[in-house]
Amino acid sequence: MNLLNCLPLLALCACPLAAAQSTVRVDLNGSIQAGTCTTAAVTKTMPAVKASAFPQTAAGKAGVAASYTPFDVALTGCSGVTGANFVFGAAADAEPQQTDSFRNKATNGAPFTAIWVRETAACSTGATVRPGATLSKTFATATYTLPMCAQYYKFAGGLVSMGPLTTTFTVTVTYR
Amino acid sequence: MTLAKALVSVLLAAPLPAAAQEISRARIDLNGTLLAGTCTATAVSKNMPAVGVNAFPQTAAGKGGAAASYTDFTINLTACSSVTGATFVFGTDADRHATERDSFRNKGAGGSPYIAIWLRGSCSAGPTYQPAQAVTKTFTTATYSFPLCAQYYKSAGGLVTQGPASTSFIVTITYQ
Amino acid sequence: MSTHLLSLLALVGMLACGADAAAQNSARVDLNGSIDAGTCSVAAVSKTIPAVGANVFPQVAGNTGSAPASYTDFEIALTGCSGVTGATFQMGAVADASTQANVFRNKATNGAPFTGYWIKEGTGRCTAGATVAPGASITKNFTTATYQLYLCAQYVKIAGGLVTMGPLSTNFTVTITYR
Repeated sequence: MNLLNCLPLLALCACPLAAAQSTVRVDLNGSIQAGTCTTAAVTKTMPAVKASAFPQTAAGKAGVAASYTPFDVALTGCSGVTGANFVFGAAADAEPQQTDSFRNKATNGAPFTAIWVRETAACSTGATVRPGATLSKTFATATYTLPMCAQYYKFAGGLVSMGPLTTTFTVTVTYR
Repeated sequence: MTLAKALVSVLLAAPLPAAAQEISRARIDLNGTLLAGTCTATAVSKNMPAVGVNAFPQTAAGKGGAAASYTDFTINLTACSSVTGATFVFGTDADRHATERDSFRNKGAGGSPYIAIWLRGSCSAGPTYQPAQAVTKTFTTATYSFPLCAQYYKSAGGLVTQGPASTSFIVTITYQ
Repeated sequence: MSTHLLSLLALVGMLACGADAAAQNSARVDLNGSIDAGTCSVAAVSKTIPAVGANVFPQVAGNTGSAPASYTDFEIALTGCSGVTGATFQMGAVADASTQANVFRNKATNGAPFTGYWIKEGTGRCTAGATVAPGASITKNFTTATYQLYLCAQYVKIAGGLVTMGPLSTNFTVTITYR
């Protein structure tokens, strides 16, 4: 008589263990600033010229070499700048009869005259800078100079006669 | 009178058979568990310094960090109980910068796409902790501080422009 | 008269000494039997050991140590014993051991590493009992109808690494041979 007690096997509990966990949100907030430069106002006295220097017909249009006046838009003390946009006045500064020129804002100003501004170091050439136009320049130096030239300009519609010829406009510089 | 006689012999002639051994078998099951402990983890929100555009390489292809942006911070675990260590996972693959894959992308609205946030153990010389990386630390103390440092990093592909330079990611901490 | 007495004696003598020559057979009879050892009934044992934190163990890879919070007494209970004078309990097999020969290894899937069970025997239980190595035998004498073998289980860390969380389970078969 052989007694072998085969006892019931008890199953092992196979419970998966959830690992203890935390989650943490990390926020890092910063900014990159554009730099800035110092700008200087420009006041230039342009040479007086005779009315006879202009075209003598009402329809005639031309600039006047004798009035060439170079000037610079100068940026100094630039820091953290990689470039800038220059906006030359606004459309409201334009001569209605010749919208790519700056109108004569003088009281009782010489009629049919305006000021033609070009981006150039040599006044006889250079791209016209219209009122409201934007020039975009890239530079990383501490100073930057934008060479310009202004000259008197007769537009069509009548003859030029004596009087003041001045304009004023604001250059807005936006840095990058 | 006769004597009936009979001879009766009782013989124990065969050798004794071996006694049959009784055997039982019992299965012993012992089921236990070792628990991981847990800690309390606090969220991190750090403002990084504003840095000028000119702190970064000035070419589209240039890459580099900005020492002026070094921001030290820690992930702090407190009230740790029955913990022998923890594994920290820093964000996910979705947090990677597009080209600097071991850094966190700039999530600031309108921020430069050529800025990433570089996470290291120490900004000057520590190991890089990239998105989705798991780092395990062993400790049995009731508190633990994980030192980290963040800095801006310019990627190749364009110049850095002004704007926010921010990121946000979830650190998942699994305790042992 | 005297002659008569002698005759009687002689007759008697002859009766006593002589046997009648009667008809005879002899038959051998064998009677074979044995004495069996007795037997008992024994029940399986399943115990849940209290969960402990991983940090109760030594935090050095090479060190070993136990966890008093895990001490769990249990018994192998024999009942209905009949004709038993004692028993030998073989506690599992050498194959149930861990890398440390006197520790029953953790058989759980994804079990907590470098852990096992230390089984101790005797009324001193976990604090003062004798260590039972896997495969060892314990012999006890008793003639009662019931018998309890006092045992205690505890978690133990073995050398080779640090303990981390996970299940810690073992199982082994006790083979009981009765006398």
